Amino acid sequence: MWVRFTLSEARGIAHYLGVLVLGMAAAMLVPLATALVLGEWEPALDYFVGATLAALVGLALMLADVTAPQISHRQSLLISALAWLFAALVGAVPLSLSGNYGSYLDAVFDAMSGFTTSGLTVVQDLDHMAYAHNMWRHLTHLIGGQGIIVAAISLAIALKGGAFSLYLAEGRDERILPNVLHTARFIWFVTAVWVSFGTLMLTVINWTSGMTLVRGALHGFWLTIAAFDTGGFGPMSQNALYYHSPYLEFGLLVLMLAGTFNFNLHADLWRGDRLEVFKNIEAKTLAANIAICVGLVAISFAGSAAFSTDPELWRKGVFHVISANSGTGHQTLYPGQWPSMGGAAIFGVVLAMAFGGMISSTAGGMKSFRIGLIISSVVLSVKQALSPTSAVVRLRFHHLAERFITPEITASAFTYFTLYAVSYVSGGVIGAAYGYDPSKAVFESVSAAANVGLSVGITGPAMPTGLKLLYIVQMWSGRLEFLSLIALVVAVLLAFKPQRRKLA
Amino acid sequence: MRWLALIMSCAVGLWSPVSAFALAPLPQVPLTKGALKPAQVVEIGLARDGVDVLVQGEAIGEALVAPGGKRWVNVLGDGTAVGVVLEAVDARAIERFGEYRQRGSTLVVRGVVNSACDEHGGDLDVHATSVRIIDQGYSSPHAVHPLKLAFAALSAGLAMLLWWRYRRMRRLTYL
Repeated sequence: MWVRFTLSEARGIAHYLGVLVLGMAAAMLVPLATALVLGEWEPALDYFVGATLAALVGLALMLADVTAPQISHRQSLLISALAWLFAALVGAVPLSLSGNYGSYLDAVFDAMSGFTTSGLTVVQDLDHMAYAHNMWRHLTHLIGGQGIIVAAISLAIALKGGAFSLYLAEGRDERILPNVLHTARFIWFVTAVWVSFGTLMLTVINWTSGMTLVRGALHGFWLTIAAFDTGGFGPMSQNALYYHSPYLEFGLLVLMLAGTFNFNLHADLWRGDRLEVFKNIEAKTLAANIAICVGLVAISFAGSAAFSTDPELWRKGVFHVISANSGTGHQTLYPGQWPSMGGAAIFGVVLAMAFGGMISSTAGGMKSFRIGLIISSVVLSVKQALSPTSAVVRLRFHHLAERFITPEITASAFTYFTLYAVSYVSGGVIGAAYGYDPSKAVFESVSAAANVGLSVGITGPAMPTGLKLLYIVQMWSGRLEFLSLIALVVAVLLAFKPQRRKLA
Repeated sequence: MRWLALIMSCAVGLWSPVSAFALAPLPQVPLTKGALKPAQVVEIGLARDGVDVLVQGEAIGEALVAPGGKRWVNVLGDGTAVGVVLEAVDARAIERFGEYRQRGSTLVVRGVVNSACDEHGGDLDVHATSVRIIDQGYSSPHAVHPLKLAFAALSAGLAMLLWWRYRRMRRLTYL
């Protein structure tokens, strides 16, 4: 039976949404400080307006129920879904004031793309954008990559009424440490270590390439966030191509791979258990997936007149496969250059985008864990078919612990696989209906729904409004792995459904 | 009816252009006769390799170190930038590089466009044979918009009012 939300439950949802929006206001103090330090007075005002407006919305929502009530699992699903929408709506305010966006919708597109770590962008004149605005664009990757709820939990922001169910509703299931607060803080600890390492590495590369120390450090920080959080924004319109540096591209490769790792694997490596990486079904599937996609690119390059040397295979082939597989979207190609890579290479990149990285990471897509389970279940079915009818055939897999393939696990993997596949295809069909080349429409749709950000040129300020809205929904649903968003749609539909009167 | 009004106002809000805050159009340096914009050069590079081109655009960011003692300068025009490899001495002559506070020098570069340069890891680039600077750029000050000041004052005042109200309601609830 479908159960409507009561007014009291809706008030609880509004309260916690308000808390999260208030957190967004606090986050805007970072670009505000950046603007003040660098003497960018107009952007400073943009963030003052953005922060106070976010505080206004947050407090108005919190007023719905000032008691901070306990929340149920179904409430947390809605809070999680709406938190990303509100984050994008509020986060877009300073961006829309920047003058670099054609409409508020365009700013919402970029904010949603930033928070969901997608990296697709409709920004205009990025090369003349203020540092403060670039700081905020990249900060949305950092907040969204770790998870808006995780960010709030780790800062112990008044979520005690339902921290754990909110954490699960955000599509996360890491239980690295017994306590959810400690787990959230561990996720931030891992991030801090990698971001510090990456920023230092890329700052040195940028500085030795001719940038000033301040500019090199800012670009280093932003590129590190965009790579480790598998986001893909860049501070320049050419993205990673601007730097023309093989060293920088190698650094980004390392960070993208680190970003696509399950936080549980980070914890195992931190504890010194390196064998887990070699036994884990997810790590093995991801390695196989990357190998297959790189193989496809290599075959394609071998027959290509344009990309025929080894450095080109690394810098254009492997780089884009890792960028796609990790869901990052850093690009060193012009959108129009994709066809010159060859059909097999493009197929390899689309496959890498569709499958995605590991679960419990910042990566998007179907996730290699589920792909590994589906392949294992096929192997199990074949084994069962070839065995005597009386035989009991079971298949073991390793993911943090030894487990058996069960119908429940397989069904869950197939459900997510189907939801992603439907989203990829339907987005492609709609893109084609707008008059775009079907293969390009599918590429862009997969890129949006898998939160990747690679583009063949469809995404841009001049894109039809309908497609902007479609990609916003795809990025949003893909990040939440559909379940929370479906729950939100059902709740809204139930709210509109007329209630039957009981007969006396 | 209330829901319809809410949806309608959301739609209007989403579609509202923010042209009030759009960056003011800056004076453009006229295109030199026979010169192409970077976007046109990229199109040529996609179609044919090794074509001799004359490209005009704004130098952005900074000059970056390239192999062989040369420099990379990214040249922008109409939203598309292309990487140009030029001599270090030519790069030193560029006074301004485009960023938030300034418009960069305008270069007219004659060179060869490479679809996927073997020397530079497959980048689509232009190897300059000659570089001419036709304008040294200018600083572009950003004045604070009075409407934004009004927004800031209004939203800050309302936020403080709501904060006071929230604190009061909490105090009354837990009394």
